[in-house]
Amino acid sequence: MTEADILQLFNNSWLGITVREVRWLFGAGETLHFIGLSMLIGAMIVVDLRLLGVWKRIPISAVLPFTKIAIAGFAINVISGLAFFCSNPFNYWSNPAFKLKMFLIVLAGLNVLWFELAERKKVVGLAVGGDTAIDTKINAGLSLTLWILIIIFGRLLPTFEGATSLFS
Amino acid sequence: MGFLAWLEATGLGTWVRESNFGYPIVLAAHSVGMGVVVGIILMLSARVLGFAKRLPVNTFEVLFTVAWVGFAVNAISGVLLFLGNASHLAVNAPFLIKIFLVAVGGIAAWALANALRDENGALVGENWTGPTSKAKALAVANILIWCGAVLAGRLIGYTISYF
Repeated sequence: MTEADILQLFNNSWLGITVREVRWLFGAGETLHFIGLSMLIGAMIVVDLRLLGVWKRIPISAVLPFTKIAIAGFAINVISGLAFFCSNPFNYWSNPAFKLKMFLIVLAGLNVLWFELAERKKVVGLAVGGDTAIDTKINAGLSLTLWILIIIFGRLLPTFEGATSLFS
Repeated sequence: MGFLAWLEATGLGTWVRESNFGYPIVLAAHSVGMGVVVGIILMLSARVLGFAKRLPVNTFEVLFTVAWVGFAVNAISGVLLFLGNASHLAVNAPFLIKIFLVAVGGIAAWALANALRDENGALVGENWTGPTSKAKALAVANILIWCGAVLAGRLIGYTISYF
């Protein structure tokens, strides 16, 4: 199966056909995509600022519920993003900004995994007023940086449409 | 030359409109600012409506500062975007609705924060007995107004004749 065959599968999917046929769906999807990203970055600002050491008197477990809002926002964006992709897969797949954005999302996902597997239990056990470890701070800093870069590259997609590289 | 055309002809307006980097950079900044402002307001509304009850509301004092920075980024990038295409934006219905909703949203956000302050003007903390129905209604209103502003903003791109 070639790359073109796989892209064609996305193209011919029910999602791809429907989004192309019902014209307002793409714009509705974009609005949802922006709301999803706002939920995600808003929740990450609350959690990551606490992990970086702001509000030390608040137990970290008090902010962690916001990760659920981040996941909800991310889910909205995966679904709307999939809808965009299926409607025009060859166009997105040939866009260098799109590939970079997807790669950054993978990195952000790995960063989340790092937090869940190693950092979460450390910070939940932290005494009130205590400072987080340096690796927790790095994780939180990476989180904010990556998600903001992802927003930026998402916004730059139309600029790099049809470009062969980000630097041409 | 009309005022709007004069704005478009300024160095800044021309740069946004004609340079390869201008428009994308300004729009990218505007997207990040939007995420920050709308995101923090959504988180405050969620907290007021009962989410993460163990987080004291006064943590939002710092978050308001972050949101103001985001708002400043969007005010500046918004002015730049307007300069680039003033004559078309000034008559674009979604744009005018969006500015109206941002203004109303600003008032709604201020009102919500206000409904969460004690007699000394400080945001409520660990001793808070919970939101009044006014605060809850304002939280819902903020969610609707700001999501409306996001929608209106997206519709600008579909209804305007750019440059």
